[in-house]
Amino acid sequence: MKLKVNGTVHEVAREWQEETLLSVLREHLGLTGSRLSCGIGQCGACVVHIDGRPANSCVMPVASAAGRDILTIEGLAGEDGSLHPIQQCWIDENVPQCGYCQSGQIMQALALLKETPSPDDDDIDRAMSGNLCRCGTYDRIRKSIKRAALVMQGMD
Amino acid sequence: MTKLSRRKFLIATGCVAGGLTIVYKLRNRAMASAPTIIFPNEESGAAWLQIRPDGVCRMYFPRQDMGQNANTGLAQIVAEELNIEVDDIEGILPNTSAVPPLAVTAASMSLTAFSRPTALAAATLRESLRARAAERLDQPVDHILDDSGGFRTAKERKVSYADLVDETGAVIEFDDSKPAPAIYTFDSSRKKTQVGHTITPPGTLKLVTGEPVYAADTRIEGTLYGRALQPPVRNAHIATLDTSGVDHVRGLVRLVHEDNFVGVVCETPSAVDAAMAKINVTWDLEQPINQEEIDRLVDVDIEMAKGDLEHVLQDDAHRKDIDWDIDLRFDVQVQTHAQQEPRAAVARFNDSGADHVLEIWTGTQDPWAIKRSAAMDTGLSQDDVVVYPQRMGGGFGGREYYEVERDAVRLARAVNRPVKVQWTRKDEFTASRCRPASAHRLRIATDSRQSVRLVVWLCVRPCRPREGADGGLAAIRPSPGHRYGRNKRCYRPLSSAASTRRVHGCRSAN
Repeated sequence: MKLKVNGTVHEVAREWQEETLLSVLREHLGLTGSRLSCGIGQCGACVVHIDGRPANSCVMPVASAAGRDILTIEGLAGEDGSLHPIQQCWIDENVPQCGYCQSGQIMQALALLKETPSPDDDDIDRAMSGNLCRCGTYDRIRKSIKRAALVMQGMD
Repeated sequence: MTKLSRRKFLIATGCVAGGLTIVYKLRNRAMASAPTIIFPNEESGAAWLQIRPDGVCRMYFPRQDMGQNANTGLAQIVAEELNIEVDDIEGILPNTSAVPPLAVTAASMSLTAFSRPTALAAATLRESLRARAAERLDQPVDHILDDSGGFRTAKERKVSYADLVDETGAVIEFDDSKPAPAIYTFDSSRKKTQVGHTITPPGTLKLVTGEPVYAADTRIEGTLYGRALQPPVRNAHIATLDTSGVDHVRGLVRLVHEDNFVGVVCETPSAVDAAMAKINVTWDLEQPINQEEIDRLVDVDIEMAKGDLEHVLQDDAHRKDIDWDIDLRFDVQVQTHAQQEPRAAVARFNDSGADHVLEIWTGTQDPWAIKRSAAMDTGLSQDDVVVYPQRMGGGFGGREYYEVERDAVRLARAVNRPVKVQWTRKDEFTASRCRPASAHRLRIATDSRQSVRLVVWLCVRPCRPREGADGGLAAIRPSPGHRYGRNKRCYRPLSSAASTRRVHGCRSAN
């Protein structure tokens, strides 16, 4: 089984082929940026992109992601280390508190801005409703998404 | 308690390797009391700052990090005192062998307790550097002016901190018998460059790029995965246990059953799930749950009907016939801390000859509690155990005890391999310590000008006993001035104004 993650193809060892995608990413491939929180696909801490669409990797069998393009938080910045505008806006707005949910929040925000380049509050609330933050950083997340939208459109 | 000699401490932290280091002590409130560090030794609470030979300020953060940013605030204080930026500080979360024990990170006391000692230490370090600058520039000390990252003279001769320290290393022992240096942080007349300003907390970049910072992100070669059964309530005992299906789970390494502890170690996380699902268990409860009795115990009105608590009047205005302007009852249900990160730990046992027999990576509010508990649990000396604290994905007061670490330690010992344990969300809600239910009666009386004249707050809540005392229902922080004990009823009028009447008292449940 092969897994293409952040542009790199990885061989998945036999004993890992019945795991969730999240377990393989974290424990087999060492990409620990996507996090386990609820384990039932309800909180969004584990969100990655599969063929450009967000997915909860904690409930996705790794076999169903084989051969598809997987993007994780580790693949968001440029190869030269330059941050994606969403990541930079997350820093500029001081979004994280404990930080545990933030990888998933950022990946979900990326999906939103791909679909809706200029989201309003309702768009944001709807798109981000599957991403929980126990620290309650929702207001800063909303500000960051709006700011990133401007940056990505060359308006900021 | 392990006593870490000053020399051992300095070597462990690299202070003697080079640069200029100040060792300072955090005062009484920084000394640990609850939950585990009961007898702090003279080294307790020590922390240190260092200017490395390259001029970088290294700071061993004295608080555990769960996103509350206490260390950010303390780093701002250090930056203020040293005329540098927070980005110029290399912050390190020390392991339990690197520094003497620090108090549990809890109760929102970090800045209150740590800010002044930190400012004093940084100011002492700055003034020591200023004396060196004076010698180097052949000027009187009072002619050496502050500059960014160093000092200057009135004629703009500059010297940086890197110019003032070398590879030989030196240590300043903070001496509180001498006059304290000027502390910039608390000088209200001084325009602050760091304190009070919004900054990006150290570590934010790692959070938005997904770098490993949490316990479950720890990766050690040869790691196995494990989990243990969690009893439905504390002190429950296994009545019946059927593990006959576990042996057939592919990827199982070991089923571990020691008295009331049952866990599995497997090659992969899903094998752990499969093995745990095959365990059938029933529990005996020492004390059956009686919700009606709990409700009765946590009822402030029932308690008030028993009459006044034993108390001492501090003035004569606490009268039964007072007209209360506000009289409200609040009931707080049992609350779980429900942090975003299910707690996790990695444990590894090493062969003799290693610096430590047992290593533990975990996110905890009290690493020294974990160290002590692990030593007691395994029969090791505390010197043989080291805890590497990791960032926590939330804590909220619920991560102070030896819980997931116990599971990892026992399983790792059973298989003599590193074992990673991460609780499930169900484990979190079943087995983690909760904030217990409480009931409150708040009464406020005002005077003719509508100013608060008297506030009385009565609360009924279960409290955790001190070690060695009788058991209680659950654990919460006691009110100042009250002893721990079984199911206290606390009667604590507040002192919110000069005219407020103060009465204190409490009693145990019947």
